Amino acid sequence: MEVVVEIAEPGRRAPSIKRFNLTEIRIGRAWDNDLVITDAEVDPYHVKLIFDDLANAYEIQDLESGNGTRVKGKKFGGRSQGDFDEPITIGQTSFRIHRISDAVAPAKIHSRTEQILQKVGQPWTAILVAFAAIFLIQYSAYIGSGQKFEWNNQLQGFIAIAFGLVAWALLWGGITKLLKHQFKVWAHLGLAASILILSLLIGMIEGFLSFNLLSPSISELLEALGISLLIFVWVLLGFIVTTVTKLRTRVVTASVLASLFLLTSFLLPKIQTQSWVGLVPLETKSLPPGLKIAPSKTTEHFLQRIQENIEDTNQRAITAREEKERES
Amino acid sequence: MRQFFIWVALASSFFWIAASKQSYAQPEPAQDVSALYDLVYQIVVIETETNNKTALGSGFQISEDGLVITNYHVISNLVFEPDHHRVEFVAQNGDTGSLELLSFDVINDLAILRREDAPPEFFPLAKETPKRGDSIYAIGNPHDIGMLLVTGAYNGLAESSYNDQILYSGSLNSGMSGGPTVNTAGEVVGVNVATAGSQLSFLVPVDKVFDLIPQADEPLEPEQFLIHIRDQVKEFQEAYFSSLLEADWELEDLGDYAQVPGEMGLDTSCWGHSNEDNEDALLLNLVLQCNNSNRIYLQSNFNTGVLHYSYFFYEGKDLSSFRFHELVSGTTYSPDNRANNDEVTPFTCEQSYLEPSVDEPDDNFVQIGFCSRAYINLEGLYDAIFYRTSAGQTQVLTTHFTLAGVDKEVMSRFTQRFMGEAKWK
Repeated sequence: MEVVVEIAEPGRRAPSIKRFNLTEIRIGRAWDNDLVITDAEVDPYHVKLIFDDLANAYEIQDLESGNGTRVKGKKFGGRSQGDFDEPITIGQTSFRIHRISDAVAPAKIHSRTEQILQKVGQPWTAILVAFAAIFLIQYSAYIGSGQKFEWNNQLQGFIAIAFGLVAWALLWGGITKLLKHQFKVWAHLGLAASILILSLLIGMIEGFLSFNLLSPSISELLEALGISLLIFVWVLLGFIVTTVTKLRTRVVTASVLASLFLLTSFLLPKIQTQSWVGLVPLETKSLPPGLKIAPSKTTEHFLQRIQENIEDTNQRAITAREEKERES
Repeated sequence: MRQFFIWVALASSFFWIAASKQSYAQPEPAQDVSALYDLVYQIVVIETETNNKTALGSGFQISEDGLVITNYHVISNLVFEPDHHRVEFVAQNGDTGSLELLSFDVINDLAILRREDAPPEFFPLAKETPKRGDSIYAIGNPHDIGMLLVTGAYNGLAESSYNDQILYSGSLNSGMSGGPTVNTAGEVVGVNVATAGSQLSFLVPVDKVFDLIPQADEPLEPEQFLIHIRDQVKEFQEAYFSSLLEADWELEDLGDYAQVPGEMGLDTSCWGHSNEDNEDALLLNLVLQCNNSNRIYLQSNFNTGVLHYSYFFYEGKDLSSFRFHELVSGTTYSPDNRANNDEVTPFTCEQSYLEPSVDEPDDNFVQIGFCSRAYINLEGLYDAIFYRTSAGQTQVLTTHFTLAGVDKEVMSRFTQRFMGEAKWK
């Protein structure tokens, strides 16, 4: 029988709908259910709906679940006759079964990001985005090199990157599965590929902006900011495809993780660099004429800056000497 | 027994030299070579807390009142941490005792110490320089295994070295540092100091010892040690850089692209490299690397004095401008001398864009960087790193130098002079 299941999960503002044409629908938290519910109070295999085409009816069978199944607010075990359009509740999640012939108000998907992600999470979209990411990585290595991009030289790299992406998606999918969420490998593959493209773009932008050499730390800051942004996006989107957590919680968690990265990668190594004599933060950033945006100094001005630089160094030495004296 | 054979061999060789000279020179005074051995000490630097040795070398007595000469580098731990170290000698006859550090010459790597209650025998210092090819004999205790005498020849002073050093064709080994090298008359002509491997060694000429002896009359207090190092390095570098900065720097061609100062003085040497023959290379790369040989040893992992400068020219082959600069970017520069964290401050750096100079194409993209660090315990000395990169569409010329152990004035004067020297063709 062809039916539409309208699912209202906690933390989602609007219900989602799914279409089935099966004689049986098994519902639960486990990934091999026909309908996977990511609700911690739902059993791995919670309830089964058995359809009878001839009678145009269906039966609800509770699979000896821990928290039981409620129909119209009443808890029951074993089997019971199901009513169309009436709520069935398992854990925090409730759903209704509609006949396809009945008019069903289309469920609104509230967020544009989720809409995009739902698309990215589809197998073909995921594969397409992954291809785009791999191609972009490989092609970008040739831009401006004067060498011709040849497809037959790309196979090895192509396989390597594709393998990496799939492995990454399986890893993330596996982790979310361990966290008792849905195992959405396709969603993660699409996500990984999208993030890859985003990181390439961030890298390019960072490359453009960081050639202000007035302070070498600016390029470090930009790099750290770029990676934090990636982490933010990754975590935020990762949450959307895997969990039912509220948007605010997602944003806060992603922000905290990104800030933590920023703190540890930019501020902490900064402190180490200061005391590490061997490392010199003197690195050239060459650019073709015409791309320069920072103002130039005259030679006299730079010589003046050198005098000030030596004075700064001298001050450091004086401070170091005073510290040493205090210690002894 | 083995020593006996060495004695016999040595005595006979001395005899042979003496005999062969007899026909045309005054007879040499008869030498008891075993006495020479007895007069060479093993010098041991001991860490007072653990009572273990931290450095070993050789040394020798040069006066009746017990003045002993060794290398500065043998006793450098005592100089930097006088409270935690002491110096002792071990004589061939088994006598041991402590030595007092009176003064040192960090530039020529010499130290003068005193042994109390010293025996009356000592090494006389040669007043005359040997002739090239004369046999001279280095004595010392290599690797703590026993006194050894090495035969070699005097080859005059090492060329392309600002500081005088005798070029000795004999094998000095670690531990022989600070031992004497004597002529056939048993007079000291030099002090063992360094080796460059297979039969190529260096000695400090004895006149540097003569220069140091008067300083023994005014012994340094331990708290003056580091000030003494600072003053010597500063004085040496001032004299060296004054002569370097006064000299005309001859320009050398860097391919067909630029002219740069090559060997600035007799003691600087330059090495070139190019990948013009490599057809697969994406970049044409011309390099000229120059440095002087003034590496002054201060302590293990802490040296100074060296001047290094280099030039890099890059040109892209079939590369877009953006791609070319992507490849050329990211060169990092580090110091050419070593220093411990507690001896120097971290580098303070300055980077900027610069207007192209008159010799450069007008639209060149010029970038410049300068870093300096100060010596914490040697007040007034600094290290510096400099680069200047001038970039056209697919051509880049970078000039670079590092300075070590110079004062503020030398640092700014050298930078100013060096900046304006390299020219595009």
